[in-house]
Amino acid sequence: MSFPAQHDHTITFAVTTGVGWVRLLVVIGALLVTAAAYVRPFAPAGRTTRVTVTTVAGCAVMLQLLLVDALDMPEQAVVGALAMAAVPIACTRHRTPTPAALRVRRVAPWVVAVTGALAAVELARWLAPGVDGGEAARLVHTSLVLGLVALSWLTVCRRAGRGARATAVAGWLVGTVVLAGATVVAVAT
Amino acid sequence: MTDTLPLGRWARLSHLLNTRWHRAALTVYAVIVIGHWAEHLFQAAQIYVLGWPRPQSLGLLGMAYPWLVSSEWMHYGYAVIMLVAFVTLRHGFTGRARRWWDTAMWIQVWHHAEHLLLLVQAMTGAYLLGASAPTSIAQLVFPRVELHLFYNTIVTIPMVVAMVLHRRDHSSEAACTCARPVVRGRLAESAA
Repeated sequence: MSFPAQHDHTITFAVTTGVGWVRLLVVIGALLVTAAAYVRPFAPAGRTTRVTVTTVAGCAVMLQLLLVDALDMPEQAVVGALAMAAVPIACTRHRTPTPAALRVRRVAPWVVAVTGALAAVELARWLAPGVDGGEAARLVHTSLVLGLVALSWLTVCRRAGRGARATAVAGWLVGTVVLAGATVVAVAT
Repeated sequence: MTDTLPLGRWARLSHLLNTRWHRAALTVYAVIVIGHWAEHLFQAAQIYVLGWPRPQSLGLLGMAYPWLVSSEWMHYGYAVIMLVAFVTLRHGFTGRARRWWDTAMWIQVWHHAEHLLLLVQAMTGAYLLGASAPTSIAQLVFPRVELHLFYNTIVTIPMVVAMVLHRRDHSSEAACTCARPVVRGRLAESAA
Protein backbone atom coordinates (compact mmCIF):
# COMPACT_ATOMS: atom_id res chain seq x y z
CA MET A 1 0.00 0.00 0.00
CA SER A 2 1.47 3.32 -0.93
CA PHE A 3 0.93 6.10 1.50
CA PRO A 4 -0.76 9.49 1.20
CA ALA A 5 1.48 12.04 -0.39
CA GLN A 6 0.67 14.54 2.35
CA HIS A 7 2.83 12.62 4.77
CA ASP A 8 5.94 13.87 3.06
CA HIS A 9 7.66 15.84 5.82
CA THR A 10 6.76 19.22 4.40
CA ILE A 11 9.03 22.06 5.36
CA THR A 12 7.06 24.18 7.79
CA PHE A 13 9.74 26.70 8.72
CA ALA A 14 9.20 30.17 7.32
CA VAL A 15 12.90 30.94 7.81
CA THR A 16 15.71 28.40 7.59
CA THR A 17 18.87 28.68 9.65
CA GLY A 18 21.34 27.80 6.92
CA VAL A 19 24.16 25.31 7.31
CA GLY A 20 26.64 27.48 9.21
CA TRP A 21 25.95 25.82 12.54
CA VAL A 22 26.06 22.37 10.96
CA ARG A 23 29.48 23.19 9.52
CA LEU A 24 30.59 24.45 12.94
CA LEU A 25 29.40 21.27 14.65
CA VAL A 26 31.22 19.11 12.09
CA VAL A 27 34.46 21.01 12.61
CA ILE A 28 34.16 20.92 16.42
CA GLY A 29 33.33 17.22 16.27
CA ALA A 30 36.32 16.50 14.02
CA LEU A 31 38.61 18.45 16.37
CA LEU A 32 37.37 16.55 19.42
CA VAL A 33 37.78 13.17 17.77
CA THR A 34 41.24 14.09 16.48
CA ALA A 35 42.30 15.34 19.91
CA ALA A 36 41.20 12.04 21.44
CA ALA A 37 43.26 10.14 18.85
CA TYR A 38 46.34 12.29 19.54
CA VAL A 39 46.28 11.85 23.33
CA ARG A 40 45.18 8.22 23.25
CA PRO A 41 48.67 6.68 23.60
CA PHE A 42 49.38 8.81 26.70
CA ALA A 43 46.03 8.95 28.47
CA PRO A 44 43.85 5.86 28.82
CA ALA A 45 40.29 6.67 27.87
CA GLY A 46 37.45 5.57 30.14
CA ARG A 47 34.14 4.19 28.90
CA THR A 48 32.44 7.60 28.98
CA THR A 49 35.21 9.12 26.88
CA ARG A 50 35.04 6.29 24.37
CA VAL A 51 31.25 6.52 24.09
CA THR A 52 31.53 10.30 23.66
CA VAL A 53 34.23 10.08 21.00
CA THR A 54 32.44 7.42 18.95
CA THR A 55 29.10 9.23 19.23
CA VAL A 56 30.61 12.58 18.24
CA ALA A 57 32.33 10.91 15.28
CA GLY A 58 29.07 9.27 14.18
CA CYS A 59 27.13 12.54 14.46
CA ALA A 60 29.84 14.44 12.56
CA VAL A 61 29.70 11.86 9.76
CA MET A 62 25.91 12.17 9.62
CA LEU A 63 25.92 15.98 9.62
CA GLN A 64 28.50 16.10 6.85
CA LEU A 65 25.98 14.56 4.50
CA LEU A 66 24.03 17.82 4.72
CA LEU A 67 27.03 19.87 3.59
CA VAL A 68 27.78 18.17 0.31
CA ASP A 69 25.80 17.19 -2.78
CA ALA A 70 27.50 13.79 -3.07
CA LEU A 71 30.43 11.82 -1.71
CA ASP A 72 33.04 10.07 -3.78
CA MET A 73 31.19 6.78 -3.41
CA PRO A 74 27.76 5.36 -4.37
CA GLU A 75 24.83 6.37 -2.15
CA GLN A 76 24.45 2.78 -0.99
CA ALA A 77 28.07 2.85 0.19
CA VAL A 78 27.29 6.00 2.18
CA VAL A 79 24.81 3.93 4.19
CA GLY A 80 27.61 1.38 4.69
CA ALA A 81 29.90 4.15 5.97
CA LEU A 82 27.21 5.25 8.43
CA ALA A 83 26.81 1.66 9.59
CA MET A 84 30.59 1.44 10.04
CA ALA A 85 30.47 4.60 12.15
CA ALA A 86 27.72 3.08 14.30
CA VAL A 87 29.60 -0.14 15.14
CA PRO A 88 32.08 1.42 17.63
CA ILE A 89 29.20 3.25 19.34
CA ALA A 90 27.43 -0.06 19.91
CA CYS A 91 30.66 -1.70 21.12
CA THR A 92 31.59 0.96 23.66
CA ARG A 93 28.07 1.16 25.07
CA HIS A 94 28.36 -2.00 27.20
CA ARG A 95 30.29 -1.92 30.49
CA THR A 96 31.42 -5.51 29.96
CA PRO A 97 32.56 -6.26 26.40
CA THR A 98 30.22 -8.64 24.59
CA PRO A 99 31.60 -11.47 22.39
CA ALA A 100 30.68 -9.38 19.34
CA ALA A 101 32.56 -6.39 20.77
CA LEU A 102 35.65 -8.56 21.29
CA ARG A 103 35.49 -9.68 17.66
CA VAL A 104 35.13 -6.06 16.57
CA ARG A 105 38.16 -5.16 18.68
CA ARG A 106 40.23 -7.80 16.88
CA VAL A 107 39.45 -6.48 13.40
CA ALA A 108 39.50 -2.80 14.44
CA PRO A 109 43.20 -2.15 13.57
CA TRP A 110 42.59 -3.40 10.04
CA VAL A 111 39.51 -1.21 9.65
CA VAL A 112 41.52 1.78 10.91
CA ALA A 113 44.30 1.00 8.42
CA VAL A 114 42.01 0.58 5.40
CA THR A 115 39.62 3.48 6.04
CA GLY A 116 42.48 5.72 7.16
CA ALA A 117 44.42 4.95 3.98
CA LEU A 118 41.36 5.66 1.85
CA ALA A 119 40.86 8.95 3.70
CA ALA A 120 44.47 9.91 2.92
CA VAL A 121 44.02 8.98 -0.75
CA GLU A 122 40.89 11.15 -1.02
CA LEU A 123 42.70 14.09 0.57
CA ALA A 124 45.66 13.56 -1.79
CA ARG A 125 43.29 13.60 -4.75
CA TRP A 126 41.88 16.92 -3.50
CA LEU A 127 45.44 18.31 -3.45
CA ALA A 128 46.02 17.25 -7.06
CA PRO A 129 45.98 20.08 -9.62
CA GLY A 130 42.87 20.71 -11.72
CA VAL A 131 40.25 19.70 -9.16
CA ASP A 132 37.26 22.06 -9.45
CA GLY A 133 34.93 23.33 -6.70
CA GLY A 134 32.25 20.63 -6.64
CA GLU A 135 34.74 17.81 -7.07
CA ALA A 136 36.99 19.33 -4.40
CA ALA A 137 34.15 19.47 -1.86
CA ARG A 138 33.21 15.89 -2.64
CA LEU A 139 36.76 14.65 -2.12
CA VAL A 140 37.36 16.59 1.10
CA HIS A 141 34.09 15.47 2.67
CA THR A 142 34.72 11.87 1.62
CA SER A 143 38.15 12.06 3.22
CA LEU A 144 36.63 13.48 6.39
CA VAL A 145 33.90 10.83 6.52
CA LEU A 146 36.40 8.00 6.10
CA GLY A 147 38.85 9.58 8.54
CA LEU A 148 36.18 9.99 11.22
CA VAL A 149 35.10 6.37 10.75
CA ALA A 150 38.75 5.31 11.15
CA LEU A 151 39.21 7.37 14.32
CA SER A 152 35.95 6.05 15.71
CA TRP A 153 37.22 2.49 15.22
CA LEU A 154 40.54 3.52 16.77
CA THR A 155 38.77 3.92 20.12
CA VAL A 156 37.97 0.18 20.24
CA CYS A 157 41.54 -0.89 19.35
CA ARG A 158 43.71 -2.30 22.15
CA ARG A 159 46.03 0.30 23.66
CA ALA A 160 48.65 -2.19 24.84
CA GLY A 161 50.31 -5.33 23.49
CA ARG A 162 51.43 -6.24 20.02
CA GLY A 163 50.85 -3.57 17.42
CA ALA A 164 49.97 -0.88 19.95
CA ARG A 165 52.73 1.42 18.70
CA ALA A 166 51.64 0.96 15.07
CA THR A 167 48.04 1.69 16.07
CA ALA A 168 49.14 4.85 17.88
CA VAL A 169 51.07 6.04 14.82
CA ALA A 170 48.12 5.21 12.57
CA GLY A 171 45.89 7.25 14.90
CA TRP A 172 48.19 10.26 14.62
CA LEU A 173 48.38 9.99 10.83
CA VAL A 174 44.62 9.62 10.36
CA GLY A 175 44.09 12.38 12.92
CA THR A 176 46.25 14.67 10.80
CA VAL A 177 44.23 13.80 7.70
CA VAL A 178 40.99 14.55 9.57
CA LEU A 179 42.42 17.78 10.93
CA ALA A 180 43.37 18.88 7.41
CA GLY A 181 39.94 17.92 6.09
CA ALA A 182 38.18 19.78 8.91
CA THR A 183 40.27 22.87 8.25
CA VAL A 184 39.29 22.82 4.60
CA VAL A 185 35.61 22.33 5.52
CA ALA A 186 35.87 25.26 7.93
CA VAL A 187 37.43 27.75 5.54
CA ALA A 188 37.15 26.65 1.94
CA THR A 189 34.06 24.59 1.02
CA MET B 1 12.92 -4.04 40.98
CA THR B 2 13.71 -3.27 44.60
CA ASP B 3 11.21 -3.04 47.45
CA THR B 4 12.60 0.21 48.80
CA LEU B 5 11.72 3.34 46.88
CA PRO B 6 14.65 5.21 45.31
CA LEU B 7 15.37 8.63 46.75
CA GLY B 8 15.43 10.86 43.66
CA ARG B 9 12.20 12.37 42.36
CA TRP B 10 12.71 11.02 38.85
CA ALA B 11 13.81 7.62 40.14
CA ARG B 12 10.69 7.50 42.32
CA LEU B 13 8.46 8.40 39.36
CA SER B 14 10.22 5.82 37.20
CA HIS B 15 9.71 3.22 39.91
CA LEU B 16 5.99 3.96 40.13
CA LEU B 17 5.61 3.99 36.34
CA ASN B 18 7.14 0.53 36.19
CA THR B 19 5.23 -0.96 39.11
CA ARG B 20 1.92 0.41 40.38
CA TRP B 21 1.26 2.67 37.39
CA HIS B 22 2.74 0.41 34.71
CA ARG B 23 -0.58 -0.89 33.49
CA ALA B 24 -2.13 2.59 33.31
CA ALA B 25 0.94 4.01 31.58
CA LEU B 26 0.97 1.21 29.01
CA THR B 27 -2.75 1.74 28.40
CA VAL B 28 -2.26 5.47 27.76
CA TYR B 29 0.66 4.69 25.49
CA ALA B 30 -1.31 2.06 23.58
CA VAL B 31 -4.16 4.55 23.07
CA ILE B 32 -1.70 7.09 21.60
CA VAL B 33 -0.17 4.49 19.26
CA ILE B 34 -3.58 3.16 18.18
CA GLY B 35 -4.78 6.74 17.63
CA HIS B 36 -1.81 7.42 15.38
CA TRP B 37 -2.47 4.27 13.40
CA ALA B 38 -6.20 5.02 13.20
CA GLU B 39 -5.45 8.46 11.80
CA HIS B 40 -3.26 7.01 9.06
CA LEU B 41 -5.73 4.23 8.24
CA PHE B 42 -8.54 6.79 8.07
CA GLN B 43 -6.39 8.84 5.72
CA ALA B 44 -5.78 5.78 3.54
CA ALA B 45 -9.52 5.03 3.53
CA GLN B 46 -10.25 8.58 2.36
CA ILE B 47 -7.99 7.99 -0.63
CA TYR B 48 -8.60 4.37 -1.55
CA VAL B 49 -12.19 3.74 -0.35
CA LEU B 50 -13.84 7.14 -0.64
CA GLY B 51 -11.74 8.16 -3.64
CA TRP B 52 -10.96 11.63 -2.31
CA PRO B 53 -8.17 13.64 -3.94
CA ARG B 54 -4.93 13.26 -2.01
CA PRO B 55 -4.58 16.94 -1.06
CA GLN B 56 -7.99 16.74 0.67
CA SER B 57 -7.29 13.40 2.39
CA LEU B 58 -5.94 14.63 5.69
CA GLY B 59 -7.28 12.04 8.09
CA LEU B 60 -9.83 12.78 10.82
CA LEU B 61 -7.93 15.28 12.97
CA GLY B 62 -6.09 16.58 9.93
CA MET B 63 -9.36 17.81 8.44
CA ALA B 64 -9.85 20.09 11.45
CA TYR B 65 -6.16 20.86 11.92
CA PRO B 66 -4.32 20.45 8.58
CA TRP B 67 -0.98 21.45 10.14
CA LEU B 68 -1.03 18.14 12.03
CA VAL B 69 -0.34 16.33 8.78
CA SER B 70 2.19 18.71 7.30
CA SER B 71 4.20 19.79 10.34
CA GLU B 72 7.63 18.24 10.73
CA TRP B 73 7.52 19.24 14.40
CA MET B 74 4.40 17.10 14.89
CA HIS B 75 6.07 14.05 13.32
CA TYR B 76 9.18 14.60 15.39
CA GLY B 77 7.15 15.16 18.57
CA TYR B 78 5.36 11.85 18.09
CA ALA B 79 8.70 10.08 17.52
CA VAL B 80 10.04 11.61 20.76
CA ILE B 81 6.94 10.61 22.73
CA MET B 82 7.30 7.03 21.50
CA LEU B 83 10.99 6.96 22.37
CA VAL B 84 10.45 8.39 25.85
CA ALA B 85 7.71 5.83 26.53
CA PHE B 86 9.90 2.96 25.32
CA VAL B 87 12.80 4.04 27.53
CA THR B 88 10.74 4.93 30.60
CA LEU B 89 8.46 1.90 30.69
CA ARG B 90 11.03 -0.75 29.81
CA HIS B 91 11.98 -1.60 33.40
CA GLY B 92 8.54 -3.05 34.04
CA PHE B 93 9.10 -5.74 31.41
CA THR B 94 10.92 -8.96 32.20
CA GLY B 95 12.07 -12.07 30.34
CA ARG B 96 10.97 -12.50 26.73
CA ALA B 97 8.66 -9.49 26.95
CA ARG B 98 11.67 -7.32 27.84
CA ARG B 99 13.64 -8.61 24.85
CA TRP B 100 10.78 -7.78 22.47
CA TRP B 101 10.30 -4.36 24.11
CA ASP B 102 14.01 -3.60 23.81
CA THR B 103 13.93 -4.62 20.15
CA ALA B 104 11.07 -2.20 19.51
CA MET B 105 12.92 0.48 21.50
CA TRP B 106 16.11 0.22 19.43
CA ILE B 107 14.13 0.34 16.18
CA GLN B 108 12.44 3.46 17.53
CA VAL B 109 15.85 4.94 18.42
CA TRP B 110 16.78 4.66 14.75
CA HIS B 111 13.35 5.91 13.64
CA HIS B 112 13.80 8.93 15.92
CA ALA B 113 17.28 9.57 14.51
CA GLU B 114 15.81 9.59 11.02
CA HIS B 115 13.13 12.08 12.11
CA LEU B 116 15.78 14.27 13.77
CA LEU B 117 17.77 14.26 10.55
CA LEU B 118 14.65 15.26 8.60
CA LEU B 119 13.98 18.04 11.10
CA VAL B 120 17.54 19.35 10.83
CA GLN B 121 17.22 19.34 7.04
CA ALA B 122 13.95 21.26 7.27
CA MET B 123 15.55 23.76 9.66
CA THR B 124 18.72 24.33 7.64
CA GLY B 125 17.26 24.11 4.15
CA ALA B 126 20.17 21.80 3.23
CA TYR B 127 19.09 18.34 2.18
CA LEU B 128 20.91 15.06 2.46
CA LEU B 129 23.51 14.65 -0.31
CA GLY B 130 21.97 17.43 -2.38
CA ALA B 131 18.44 15.93 -2.52
CA SER B 132 15.54 18.15 -3.58
CA ALA B 133 13.59 17.53 -0.35
CA PRO B 134 14.30 16.32 3.20
CA THR B 135 15.55 12.77 2.81
CA SER B 136 16.14 9.98 5.30
CA ILE B 137 19.14 7.65 5.39
CA ALA B 138 17.08 4.61 4.46
CA GLN B 139 15.85 6.43 1.34
CA LEU B 140 19.41 6.27 0.02
CA VAL B 141 18.99 2.51 -0.24
CA PHE B 142 15.24 2.22 -0.75
CA PRO B 143 14.17 5.15 -2.91
CA ARG B 144 10.50 6.12 -3.27
CA VAL B 145 9.34 3.80 -0.53
CA GLU B 146 6.97 5.15 2.13
CA LEU B 147 9.25 4.53 5.05
CA HIS B 148 7.09 6.14 7.71
CA LEU B 149 4.50 3.37 7.48
CA PHE B 150 7.24 0.74 7.31
CA TYR B 151 9.01 2.10 10.39
CA ASN B 152 5.82 2.35 12.40
CA THR B 153 4.96 -1.23 11.43
CA ILE B 154 8.29 -2.70 12.49
CA VAL B 155 8.15 -0.74 15.75
CA THR B 156 4.55 -1.64 16.51
CA ILE B 157 4.86 -5.40 15.92
CA PRO B 158 7.56 -6.14 18.56
CA MET B 159 5.88 -3.61 20.87
CA VAL B 160 2.56 -5.48 20.68
CA VAL B 161 4.31 -8.85 21.13
CA ALA B 162 6.06 -7.46 24.23
CA MET B 163 2.77 -6.20 25.67
CA VAL B 164 1.01 -9.53 25.04
CA LEU B 165 3.86 -11.50 26.63
CA HIS B 166 3.94 -9.04 29.51
CA ARG B 167 0.22 -9.58 30.15
CA ARG B 168 0.95 -13.31 30.42
CA ASP B 169 4.01 -12.86 32.61
CA HIS B 170 3.31 -14.31 36.06
CA SER B 171 6.90 -14.71 37.14
CA SER B 172 8.03 -13.31 40.45
CA GLU B 173 10.28 -10.89 38.55
CA ALA B 174 7.30 -8.83 37.37
CA ALA B 175 6.71 -6.05 39.90
CA CYS B 176 3.65 -4.53 38.22
CA THR B 177 -0.02 -5.51 38.05
CA CYS B 178 -0.22 -5.95 34.30
CA ALA B 179 -0.66 -9.74 34.24
CA ARG B 180 -4.22 -10.83 33.46
CA PRO B 181 -6.17 -11.20 36.74
CA VAL B 182 -8.17 -14.23 35.62
CA VAL B 183 -5.06 -16.20 34.81
CA ARG B 184 -3.46 -15.05 38.07
CA GLY B 185 -6.50 -16.40 39.91
CA ARG B 186 -6.17 -19.73 38.14
CA LEU B 187 -2.51 -19.83 39.00
CA ALA B 188 -3.32 -19.16 42.64
CA GLU B 189 -5.88 -21.97 42.60
CA SER B 190 -3.45 -24.38 41.01
CA ALA B 191 -0.79 -23.38 43.52
CA ALA B 192 -3.19 -24.01 46.40
